[in-house]
Amino acid sequence: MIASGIKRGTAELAILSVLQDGALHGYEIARRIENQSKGSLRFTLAALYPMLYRLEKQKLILGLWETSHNGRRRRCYRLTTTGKQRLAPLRKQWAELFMALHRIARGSNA
Amino acid sequence: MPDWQELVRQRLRGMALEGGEAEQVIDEIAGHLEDAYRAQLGLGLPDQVALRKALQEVNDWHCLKSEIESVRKEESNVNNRRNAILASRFNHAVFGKRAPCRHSSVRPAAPDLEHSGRPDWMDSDHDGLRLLDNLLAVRRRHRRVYFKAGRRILAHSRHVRALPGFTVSRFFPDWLTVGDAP
Repeated sequence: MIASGIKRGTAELAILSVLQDGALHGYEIARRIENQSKGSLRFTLAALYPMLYRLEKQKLILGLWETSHNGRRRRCYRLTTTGKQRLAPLRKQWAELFMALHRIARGSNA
Repeated sequence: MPDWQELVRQRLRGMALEGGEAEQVIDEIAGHLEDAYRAQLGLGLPDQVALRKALQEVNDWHCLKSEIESVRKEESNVNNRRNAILASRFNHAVFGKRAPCRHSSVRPAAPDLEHSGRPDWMDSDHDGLRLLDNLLAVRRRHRRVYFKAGRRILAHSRHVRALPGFTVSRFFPDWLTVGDAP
């Protein structure tokens, strides 16, 4: 399991990435991240919702209330144009970080 | 089926958010827990176990509450700063110079007209009321205060600016009390 401090930094990338495929509500976002990371990343509500509100404030995502066919109201989040523009450089930055860490780890093991 | 909204409302009681905002957060968290609960029931777990597992989605209610408050307060601070900037621009437009206004609850110092020269709004062709209308983002009750104060100044300007030792704060002691508008 990955430590919570590291996970917090990756939350923005994880949320924006799963929303790239379409609008999801909070529970679906959490499950999608958990499934796609094969259980390595699992956000509690205390981490997920403040992050969603923060991203919404930054206009990277947009939350809208929708009523499903069974009459339940859910707030669905979708990626905004600004969010889509933010995702590509964010991915690049994280990829560079992972590669750098990988090189350091490989070097220290050698 | 538990009453998820009531359950969440109890645990987030005292959350320092404005009325409508708090209810929206409660609805959203309740919806999340209900989904988690239904998913556990769908796996064939007994009701009590499903309930316990759903509640495990929130490991720390206090942390959730304070994190949400923190995010919303940042938003509120941004709004306060925006209001302060608008008030400052208003002072600039009316007095012809920028008055200090670091926070919306602080009364800005009124400049002494004898030393600041003739402000733009004293010109006959100056549309002071149009400037007031531009302050749409300021809360309605504040705008009313500005509007009223602006009209008073426009009405009295010709008389009072001729008086020796005139200062705005002496003639309009309630002028631009942004945080304490009646």
